[in-house]
Order: sequence, then C-alpha cells, then structure tokens
Amino acid sequence: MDYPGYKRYSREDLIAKYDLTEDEQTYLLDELLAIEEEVYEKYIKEGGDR
Amino acid sequence: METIEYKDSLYRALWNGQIPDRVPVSQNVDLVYALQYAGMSLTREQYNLDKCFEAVDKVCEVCDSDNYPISSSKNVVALRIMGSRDWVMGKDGFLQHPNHASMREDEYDFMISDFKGFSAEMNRRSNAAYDCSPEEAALARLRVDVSNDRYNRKNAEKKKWINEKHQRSTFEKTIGMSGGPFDTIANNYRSFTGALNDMRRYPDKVLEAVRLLTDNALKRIDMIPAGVEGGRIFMPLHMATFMKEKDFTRFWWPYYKEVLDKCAATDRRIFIFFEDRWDRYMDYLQQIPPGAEMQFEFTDAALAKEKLGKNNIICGFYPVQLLKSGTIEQVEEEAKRLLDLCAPGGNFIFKTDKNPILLADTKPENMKAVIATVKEYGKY
Repeated sequence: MDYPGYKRYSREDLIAKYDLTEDEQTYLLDELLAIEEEVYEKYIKEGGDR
Repeated sequence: METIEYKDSLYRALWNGQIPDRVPVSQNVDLVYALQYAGMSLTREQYNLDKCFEAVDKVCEVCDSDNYPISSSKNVVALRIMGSRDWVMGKDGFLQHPNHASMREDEYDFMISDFKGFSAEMNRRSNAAYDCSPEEAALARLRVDVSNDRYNRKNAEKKKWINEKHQRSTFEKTIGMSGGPFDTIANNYRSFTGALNDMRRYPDKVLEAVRLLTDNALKRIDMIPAGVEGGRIFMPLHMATFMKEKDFTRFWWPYYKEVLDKCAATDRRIFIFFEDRWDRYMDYLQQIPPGAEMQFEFTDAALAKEKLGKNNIICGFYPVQLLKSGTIEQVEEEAKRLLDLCAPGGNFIFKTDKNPILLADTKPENMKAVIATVKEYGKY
C-alpha cells in the first residue's frame, strides 16, 4: 500500500504537532519517535506493506 | 505464597458449579490508581509501558487479588495520535469521556441505510486525525496501528511477568466486548442525553436503529472465540436504569436478550457489569441464561443473591466509597457482612462495586485489609 504525502516527523515536528508539554517531552515524545521509526522501517522504506 | 495453580483452582471450581476452597478475590484498580500509588505522573510515566508496569508491580502489594490487578487500560499514545474526541485528556493527564454526540438526531436514516458509510463518518467526526484528507487519514491510521501493535506486544509480555512474579491467576477473562444495543446508541453515537431524547421524539427511528445494532452485535459475537475456559464477553450496561419500565421493555430488554441468548446458544460465557441499581428489573435478569458472571454496583446484595445467585456467579456490592472513608475495622466488618450474605453455597467472587480509579478513591491500607479479610474469613 502506498502512502502519498508521507512525511517523517522529526522531534521538533512532533512537539509542535501534538503540542507537547515539557512533561510530555520525555516518554511520550520518545514513544512517538519510536512509532515514526517503525512506520518508516516497516511500511515506507520498501514502499510496501508488511 | 498461594500459587497460580491454587488461584486457578478457585475460579475453575466456581465455573464447574463447585464450592472453591475459599471465595476468590477479583479486585482490580485502574492503571491511574497504580501510577498514583507508585508516585508517578499521568503526564509523564503514563506514556511509558515499562514505567506503567513498575507501578503495577508496586500496587500488587496493596491489591493482593487472585487475578491480574489492573482493569482494562487504554493506549493513551494511540488516543493522542487519533486526536480522540470521545476520550479527551485533561491537563493533568486524566482521560475523560465527555457527553459527546458524533451523530446528529436527524441521521438515523443515514445509519440505517448505509451503516458502513455512517460508521466511517462517525469515526471521522470522533477523531481529529481522521477528519482530514484521505491521504492524511490513512497515514494517521497507520501510525495508530503501529502504536497499538507496540502496545499490545509489550502489554502481553509485561502482564505475563506480573502474573508470574505475583502468582496471579493467568486466565484471560475478557475475550471480547458486547452489551445492550440501545446502549450503543448512547455510548457511540448520540450521547447519554441524546439517546434518551431521541427515544421519546423519534421512537420508530430508534427502534429501527436498535434492530440494526442488534443484528450487528449478533454477527460480532461470532468473531469471539467460543468455549474458552474462563473466557468471558464483557458487557457493561449503562442505560436501562435511567429508563421507565415501559421504555425498557420496548427499546432495551428484548434486543439485549437476543444477544444473551446468542452467547448461551454458542457456548460463549459472559461477564455483565450492572451499573447503578437494578432491583426493579430483577424479574428480567432471572431470564438471563445460567452461568453468567454478574458484577453489581448499587443493587441490593440480598435480593441479587436470592434471585440470581443459584444459577450465576455474582460479585460487586462492596462500596468502594467505604474504602475511602472507613476505618480498618469498619471496612473489615463490611467485608464479613457481605461474605455472610453472599458466600454461602458458593457462586460468589469478591470485587468492589466498581474499580477504584484514582488513589483518592480508596485508602490503600483499607483495600489491603479487606482483601486479607476476604481470603481468611471467606474460607469454606
């Protein structure tokens, strides 16, 4: 499956997109970054589904 | 320490219609309670499952129940990605379920004529991340799916660790969800007040919708595994006690009864949570196929034991409020009073009338004392 318009969010993008508070910039930000990594590795890099 | 095998044997005896060695204790607390008990923050550690399970590990010292001690918890990271409007997080990190209506009162025909399209539209309205272009929504769904995969994997692994460390029964009790079709209108689409208003203003439309939602519920039951030892379909019931009996018998009961009968006919066991007070509906509840587990909130315990306790396993009743305000002596006495009333003859599990959510809902030392009392005084 293709995902047109995909953009890999950086740390700064995620802070802005989810309006993360200082507290949330610890574990929540780490988890969001890990999800970005997994989305990219599993679904985007090879351009296909799992 | 009592072993997993011993605790499993308590539940297995009940399910086989036998009297267990003692009354099983299925006390749960919310993950929020565990985090607060462990001195952790909802705006920080709630988002990290390793930290969450440190808190679960810690709360086991006061919630020494026979089962895994945490009631079902939500993936707060996924809710954040979805921008859920049904579950909204306050600045303190606490999730609230606002009285939000994603469906308008004039959309029953839309629901009835095109349920697939209707569901997609409701999903869009309920989640800010899906309320955008199809491309952006697809990417948001992908991120949510990945988040849920990560959450489910880690949750299963950590839960196993807790159960082994604290020797908790490993039966996976909740294997699916269902409930009253009328409740679905209130919970998922029209809100509590909207559903009750629609029932009076558009009764025929509401009845058509309830019929459709009943058929959908019956189909979904087929997707839940049958014949699983200890596995139950969880059915929290919300709306019936806010209805007049004539409305209950027209809009609510017959459709829910179809769901119950389908479960019984296909060897699927159920766990029903009767919120609020159900005394006036006891004659209807006696029609529930035998073998159900039933948790009651404010229903009279003696009445439930008399009317339902022979054919079903009952629990609840114990006022969580007392665990907040009572002394150790008072909470222990109330536990003994409830055991004297409900334990004779078996078919009884100890569990409070609802799960403590916030640490402020109970004094931890009271919960610990009550569970110890039940384990000792509840021996057969």
